[in-house]
Amino acid sequence: MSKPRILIVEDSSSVRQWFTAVLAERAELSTARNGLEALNRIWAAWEKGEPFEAIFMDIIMPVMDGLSAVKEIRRLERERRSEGVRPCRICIISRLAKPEDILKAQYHCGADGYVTKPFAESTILQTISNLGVELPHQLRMRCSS
Amino acid sequence: MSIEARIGANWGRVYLKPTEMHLSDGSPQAVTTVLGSCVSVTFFAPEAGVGGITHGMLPREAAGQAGVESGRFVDSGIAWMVRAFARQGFDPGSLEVKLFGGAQMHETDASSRTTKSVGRQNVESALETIEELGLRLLVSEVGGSWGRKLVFFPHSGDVWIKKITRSSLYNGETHGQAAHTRHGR
Repeated sequence: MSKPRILIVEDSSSVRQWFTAVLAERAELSTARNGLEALNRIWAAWEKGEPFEAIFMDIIMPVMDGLSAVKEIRRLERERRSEGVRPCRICIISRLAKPEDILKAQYHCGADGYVTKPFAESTILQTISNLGVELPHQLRMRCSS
Repeated sequence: MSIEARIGANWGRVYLKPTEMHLSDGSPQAVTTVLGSCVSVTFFAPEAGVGGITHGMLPREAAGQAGVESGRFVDSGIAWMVRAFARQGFDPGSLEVKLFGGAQMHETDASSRTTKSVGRQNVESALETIEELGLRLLVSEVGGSWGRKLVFFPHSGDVWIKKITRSSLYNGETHGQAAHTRHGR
């Protein structure tokens, strides 16, 4: 089974490192430090014919925030639908947990999920599965209990 | 791995219907429910391995309906569950809470452009109640125009979701057997 391509968009290096430690063996992992970097990575992946299957996106970041990036990703996906671009699964990762933040992310911007920080490894692995992205079996089994 | 493959052979099975709630006794169980615009909130007390789940259909309890059918309404179902945990000595702030459902199942309805869907109203009610009661929300997977088959393991707090199409939701293909244990109507 091939590894899914997952993009982590997060300005905190410690959070990026945490994701790398948890997912590096289970996925083809890429990282970006803000929304604009993420858009460049996503565009390049489309051009290469190897789109990301899932994206974990922080909200508060310099240059371009996560919610603006999600809206732009969804707009580009619609625009390039005729070229075969399909929506990827996007999960917000944020310390913000106000009802308005979660409603905006999921109903207005188009995020599929919302995980509040701090989070556990099991929460992230379950979220990936629940978003419909398959991780290699043996590796996920090792940490599923 | 399929959701079914994650369920232990000797675990208890519960099928949760709309408006019902379930509070576990700590034994291994798999609680299954199917969500469209309805909302399920799961609760887990990690120190005791006890969990609970609601399946609310409508956002808010109306005046004069208090306590009549707690599980029917999203807000009163959450409040009922918090009280049930409190009776067992669990502080609301220690519970791990997750929120699912709230799909916009009729997005082609012209009125949906100006009126909030039932799904969104259910989620708004859940989020506001969770905040008011000082609960810690870990995960929210809401919205979309698809149904969700949800399986909750109340002894571990794990929740597994399978996206389901509108046709299978309304044809009843995903509905299971009657529940073995249910509480809180």
